Amino acid sequence: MNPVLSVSDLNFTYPEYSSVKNRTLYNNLTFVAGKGEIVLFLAPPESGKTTLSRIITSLIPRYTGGILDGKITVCGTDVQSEKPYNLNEKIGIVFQDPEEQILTPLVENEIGFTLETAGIDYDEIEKRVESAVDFMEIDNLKGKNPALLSGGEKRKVLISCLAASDPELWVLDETLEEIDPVARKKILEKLKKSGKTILILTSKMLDIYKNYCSRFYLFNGRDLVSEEGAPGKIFMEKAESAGVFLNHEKIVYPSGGEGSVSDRKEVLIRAENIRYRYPESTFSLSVDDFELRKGEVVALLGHNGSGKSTFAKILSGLIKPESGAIYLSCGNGVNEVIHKADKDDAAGKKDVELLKYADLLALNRNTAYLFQNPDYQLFLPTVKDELSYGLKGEKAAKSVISEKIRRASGMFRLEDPETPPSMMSYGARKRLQAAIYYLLEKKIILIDEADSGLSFDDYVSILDKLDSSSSPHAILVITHDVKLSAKIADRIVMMKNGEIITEDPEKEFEKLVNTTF
Amino acid sequence: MITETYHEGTSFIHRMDPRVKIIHLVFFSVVFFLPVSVPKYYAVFFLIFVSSCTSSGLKNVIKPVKVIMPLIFLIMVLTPLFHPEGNVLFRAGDYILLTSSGVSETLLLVGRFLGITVLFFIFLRTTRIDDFILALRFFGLSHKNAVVITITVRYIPYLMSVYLNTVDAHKMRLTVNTLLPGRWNFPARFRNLLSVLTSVLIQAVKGIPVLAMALETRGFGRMSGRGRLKSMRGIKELIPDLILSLMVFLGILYYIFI
Repeated sequence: MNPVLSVSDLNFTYPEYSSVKNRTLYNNLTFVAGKGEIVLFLAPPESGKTTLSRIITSLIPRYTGGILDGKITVCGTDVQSEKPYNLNEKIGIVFQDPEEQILTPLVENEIGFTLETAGIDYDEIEKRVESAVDFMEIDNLKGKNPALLSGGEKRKVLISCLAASDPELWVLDETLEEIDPVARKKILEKLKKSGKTILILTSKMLDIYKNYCSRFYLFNGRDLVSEEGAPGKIFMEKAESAGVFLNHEKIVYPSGGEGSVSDRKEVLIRAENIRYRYPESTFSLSVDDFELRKGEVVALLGHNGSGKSTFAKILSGLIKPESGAIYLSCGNGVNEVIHKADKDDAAGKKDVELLKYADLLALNRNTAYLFQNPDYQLFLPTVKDELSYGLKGEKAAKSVISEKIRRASGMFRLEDPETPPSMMSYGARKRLQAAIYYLLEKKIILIDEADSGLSFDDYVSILDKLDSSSSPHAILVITHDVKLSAKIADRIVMMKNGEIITEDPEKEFEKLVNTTF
Repeated sequence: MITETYHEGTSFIHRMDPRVKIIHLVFFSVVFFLPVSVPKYYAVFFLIFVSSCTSSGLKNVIKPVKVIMPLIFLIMVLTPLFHPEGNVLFRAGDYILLTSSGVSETLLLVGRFLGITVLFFIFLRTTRIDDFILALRFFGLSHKNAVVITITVRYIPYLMSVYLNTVDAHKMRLTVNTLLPGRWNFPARFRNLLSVLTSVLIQAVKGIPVLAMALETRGFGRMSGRGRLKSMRGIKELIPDLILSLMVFLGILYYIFI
């Protein structure tokens, strides 16, 4: 085989900083990717996937410093001897965080940017931009500002950029995980047809990859296991033990029906007749009735742009709906307007729940909303500062704060409390984000696609820890992963075009499961 | 939150070539600094205001005016104090608080400020940023500088969203026991604002190397020539717009000077 990508005996060490202990990554990592192959590079978080993607594209160590050993060639060119901008015909990359890569305020310009810098003729650029738009089926995004699109849509635009510039090797750093299963399947089909060499770096072995990838690597930080064709039993067992594969064979729709947690416990939050429309947008949200009960974990599924995050922000008081109301169970911090929700239970007995109308501040106080991107929620110099910030606001005693920080650091594997969050890996920043809310003991925990960049084990472990809080709480998990949702949730709620699907949601869920596998 | 300045439309200002719009922008900006009488000043402002309303609607034109109202208020309060000359209209003891000259100067400043604000707002509201960049390149702006402006325009709403996300993150740290500073506790509120702004600054600084990486992976820095996705109309097609604009300019100059 004449490989498009060849990595030989790779080792890399970041420069040392006083607050960060470094280790050498990769342990003589050697692997290849052949022409036209879709290669899956599977590794748990913090094993250096993003760093690897940037070494392959010649960004590291140029921008970060550090010591690099080994050789990386793409189409026979030693990438470390070339500047990134001279490698455009050979390599293209989609960053893990699409926000960091978008450069222009118009989708078409974004797709054509690389072609413009390459000095290609106007007619050719126009043709290739159109063809890239068709390739990704994003005609509906033309004329829009990429910065205002949903996370999944941004990723589609950035993949279109690669389709337009057409390099030999496409590097996708955790790109497909936050795209909904239907779109993900379509993208993989298109990638397969493109005939290009695709390197997918991911923390999760999704079942769909088995149908499209022809070479699999599992890297645990030290050792590399490889498999050609389909991954065998041993490979999958190793993936499972590394926490990057969720072995959950039977996917059953968790309806939260009679006798379940969802049916028995008191309502903690209820949203009624919520209506919201973004200014200057055609999207509108319309939720007639939604509730979370004490102790339940609810998974919220839906396509990219279906309104899941908007709804979560309304529940947490970060967005004010145009109409409708949200009620919280009786407790501190809510207004004194009492709402009596009459509800017939299964036995026909009248069940009266006492809820109180919650304004935005009350919702802020009682809910935790874990953003998709943890960096938006980490704003202090050290882990310790982050963990203690909310507790200090409560005027808690110093000794209590120290004890709580010590406990949370242990639970969420935050090694050194003096570490600056910006120097931690993406997975560790997500664990820190969860630890902050664990300490605040909020009533409602909303987790918005926080599984990206985390292994299944890490994510399930974070959820378990948040769920282990002794205070009364309910958790709403927004995810695209049907397998994960079936494993963790007591109940599944599905959204489509800004509305909760009320007609046969089980059928919709089955459709989604069929698309996933 | 204004995340994007351009607003889709089909008005005559929307349809006008961005190069002609830039000429208008320069002309009217100069007019607002010419030594003319207050009524004539406001007549020009009225013309801009009405044209803007026809293209974007009254509500949209009022928006930027609302934003600058605190500054307008400060101008109205402070300017008369610095102009004690002319007929005294109001005094407190020995202190002259308002004169005819002060009133005239205040009206002039307010009109200038409002005029220029509406002028630029309506320009950005009716011009796609890529058309604006192309027009600037037509007037001689280099490719590198054009990219700098593009990225600046792209990053202003980004920083705004970082700011709002950070504010949201602060709100999420509240608990039922959190003691909030009182409405009039300005030092505490200032401290909160400072911590938000510090976070935004850190995020912005952290983004610099990543932005450079993103640019280089997309070919920025190559020595090859530059291509263009969009091209502008030929000069000949601009002639009707230019003639019409010239007539408007001459009409306005005639009105304000004669």
